[in-house]
Amino acid sequence: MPLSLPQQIYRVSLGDEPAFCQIVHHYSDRLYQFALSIVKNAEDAEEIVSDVFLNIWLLRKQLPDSSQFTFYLYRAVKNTSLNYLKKKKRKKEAAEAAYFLDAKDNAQNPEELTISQENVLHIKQAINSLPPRCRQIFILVKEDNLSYREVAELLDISPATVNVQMTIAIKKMWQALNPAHHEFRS
Amino acid sequence: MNDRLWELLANYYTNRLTPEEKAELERLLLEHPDNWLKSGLMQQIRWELNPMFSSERANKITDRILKGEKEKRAKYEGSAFKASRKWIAAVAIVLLISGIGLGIFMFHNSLKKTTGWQQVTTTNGMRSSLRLADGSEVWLNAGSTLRYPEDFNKQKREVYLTGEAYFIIKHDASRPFIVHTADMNIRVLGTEFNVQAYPDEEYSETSLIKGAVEVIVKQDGHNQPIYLKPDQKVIVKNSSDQIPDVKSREQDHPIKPLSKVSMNVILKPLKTISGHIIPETAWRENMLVFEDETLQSLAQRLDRWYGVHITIKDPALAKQRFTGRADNVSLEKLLQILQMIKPFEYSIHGKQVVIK
Repeated sequence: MPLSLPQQIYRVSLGDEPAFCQIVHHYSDRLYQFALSIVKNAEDAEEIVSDVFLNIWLLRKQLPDSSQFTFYLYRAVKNTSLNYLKKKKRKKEAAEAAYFLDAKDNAQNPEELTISQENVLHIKQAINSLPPRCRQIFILVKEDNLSYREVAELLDISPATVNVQMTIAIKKMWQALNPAHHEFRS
Repeated sequence: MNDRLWELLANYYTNRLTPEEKAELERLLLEHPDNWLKSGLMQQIRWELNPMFSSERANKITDRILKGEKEKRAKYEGSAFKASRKWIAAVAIVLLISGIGLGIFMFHNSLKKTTGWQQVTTTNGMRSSLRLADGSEVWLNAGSTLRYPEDFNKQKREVYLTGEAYFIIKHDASRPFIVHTADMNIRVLGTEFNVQAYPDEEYSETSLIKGAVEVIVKQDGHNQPIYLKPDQKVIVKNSSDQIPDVKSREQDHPIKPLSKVSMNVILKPLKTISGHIIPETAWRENMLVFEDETLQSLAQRLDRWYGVHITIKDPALAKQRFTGRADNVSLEKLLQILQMIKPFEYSIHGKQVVIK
């Protein structure tokens, strides 16, 4: 049974190794992809994620509150990535997220409205055909539950731009949905 | 259809809709029969990141960190043990040498001889410990000087300090031990305490760990000694006029004083962190503790700690507060840790460190 994030953070602060492993497993993929979007080098990105988790472990007694934790991790990855670029004397290129999303039907209750496989496919194509930056913003907001302000700070753009990009993402998904293709499970 | 619908939907979809926006969205959705259905469908979609990072790689990371930590801890304990053995050996040599009349001991520090007096100085980035003729021990922090007599006289034991030192005084009821600093005289019989009296800091302080001390503030209107109990400290605003334009830790972060003795003197309880660490004496265990401290004030301590010169280019960053603890880490590692708390850039050229 996985622990909730506040429980995990609390356990980590006490030096609990399994809780730390759970956090690493939950975040390593998304942080890796975020680092990759900045440094554009798989080996460096892996090392950056590893560095950040090492510091999390060393600083486990001073971890931020769970409401800030995800943002704190992303910001640490961002800063570490920028330091890597500086050390290697490489310029930060326009960030491009390499990651893609998979869409799934989320219905848990058989009486719920179910989305057709066709619509799932359409919406998945819609999201993955978005400009990478737009998709990255969508992931940070939707999946990591970061605020527009936090995303803006991570990507060096304004909160208004985050709003515009989110609107574009939703519009694209909206247009891909065909309301005729739905079914009620019976 | 204008973009407002999707803007609101984006907020709805990520649970950050205000009640007013919710009403607005409902109105927009009612304008078209399909819209309700579509928004319901959107909620049904669960996204999953296409994995790029296998769980074996995540395991590799945790293994490296957790195993590395254990090795480091073992190594650190080993070195602490070695250090203490070295220290015991050093004490033995001191006793031997003092027996043949030299009465001095050099422990990676510079020792200057004046008539009847010895002086130990630590430069920045260096720490030292020594044993006095009466068996008292003194740990000297970086950038400090202790002047002490080759042998103490029969009435009292007196030493002079600038900088920071931790004293473990051998009990001798017939001869009080007195530490003189620019702003305080500390008189004790047998006890453990920490004195901080750097000329470039705005405040001096004496923190009592064990026993009892009597502090006499050398400023006008302070004839009465202040008696400290264990786990208390007295803080004195320095009288020196040549204080640089740096706000001290104390002024930055005034904790409610136990009692205010006068305009320039306050008495405060010692606080522990993580249950047992006393920030005032943590330096002896190679621990750098900072609590809600401005980068400016921290930089001043790091200068002494690492023997570097740190310049902060951004005044706003200098006022930024940091809380944390660094056990035995390199300057670069520490800066990297601070960067995680608040992003900044730094460059190190020899002993010059620039933060911007």
